[in-house]
Amino acid sequence: MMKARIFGIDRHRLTTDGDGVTTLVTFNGCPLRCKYCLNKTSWDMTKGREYTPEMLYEEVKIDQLYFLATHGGVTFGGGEPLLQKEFIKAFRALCGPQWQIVMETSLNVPFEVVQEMDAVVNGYIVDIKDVNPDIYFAYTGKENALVLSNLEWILRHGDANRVRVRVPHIPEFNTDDDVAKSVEILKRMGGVDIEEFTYVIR
Amino acid sequence: MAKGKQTCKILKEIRKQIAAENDIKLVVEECTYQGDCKGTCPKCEAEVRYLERELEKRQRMGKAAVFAGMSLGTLFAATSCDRIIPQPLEGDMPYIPDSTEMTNDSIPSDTVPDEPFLLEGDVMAPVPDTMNIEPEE
Repeated sequence: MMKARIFGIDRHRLTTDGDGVTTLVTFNGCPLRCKYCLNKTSWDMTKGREYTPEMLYEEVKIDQLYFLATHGGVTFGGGEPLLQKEFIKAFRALCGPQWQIVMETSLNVPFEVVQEMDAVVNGYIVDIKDVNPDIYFAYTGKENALVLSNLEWILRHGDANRVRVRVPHIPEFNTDDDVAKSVEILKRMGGVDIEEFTYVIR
Repeated sequence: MAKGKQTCKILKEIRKQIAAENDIKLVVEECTYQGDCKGTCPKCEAEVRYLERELEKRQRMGKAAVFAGMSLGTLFAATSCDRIIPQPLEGDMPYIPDSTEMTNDSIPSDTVPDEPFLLEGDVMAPVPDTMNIEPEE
């Protein structure tokens, strides 16, 4: 039986994850080790609770009326939701085409995964960290070549408005100039919904 | 206005509009609870279940449910709520403990909802006697 470990389900999110009422579902498991990660629980594969797609669907459909009325649905985050492609595909088969499914993702996954999931999801929220590979590596411990090529593909392949790219000011890792450079490059790549924000360190 | 109250107000407005679009009689009593809430409560959830039952009834009679596609921006304006409710995109998630970890003491009261249905799935709280939902005549 297909299962995934989920450490959080947050209902009734308004304006944060898309246009309508959304439920955020966060998976354990992430390829990155970001210095200021707010969800370090996601690194521990023993935390949270195991769900089948059916269990998750039964739990979140409590808000189906709100989803249908406002063009909302489920945002999958984590952790890295694109590591759970089979689970999300099964979930889509259960919820049908009307719910909006959004990935809150780093895009640091193989291209084949992005290509396969693009037909399943409605939108993306991508925290790009920093376009500069050195800054990205220092902050996450990983390279960002896949991130940039995956992002460029989803921006060019379909409506770029379905992709919100978030560009953080990361204290002690990038400067305002670095962020400006990232934004400029992202615009050249075809990004239209680009949002700057500042990480809050706790 | 506190975040939970704002969420409650918006969700209530959505319920009212669903009812209006589908000719369902729904009388929503003004909430008198003074403190902040989680944005929903057993009474609000009961209204949602009532709407679902009424829509199913209509569907059995061959009437399709109508969802005109409400804009949250319009709803924020209609309810005089601030446009942006700060919610973390990640972090601060209501943590779901593994069943082996699940004791009342291990769940921080400020990170999980008071009502059991959030953790347990579709478990309906009993409808209070004072529920002010008038069934259709």
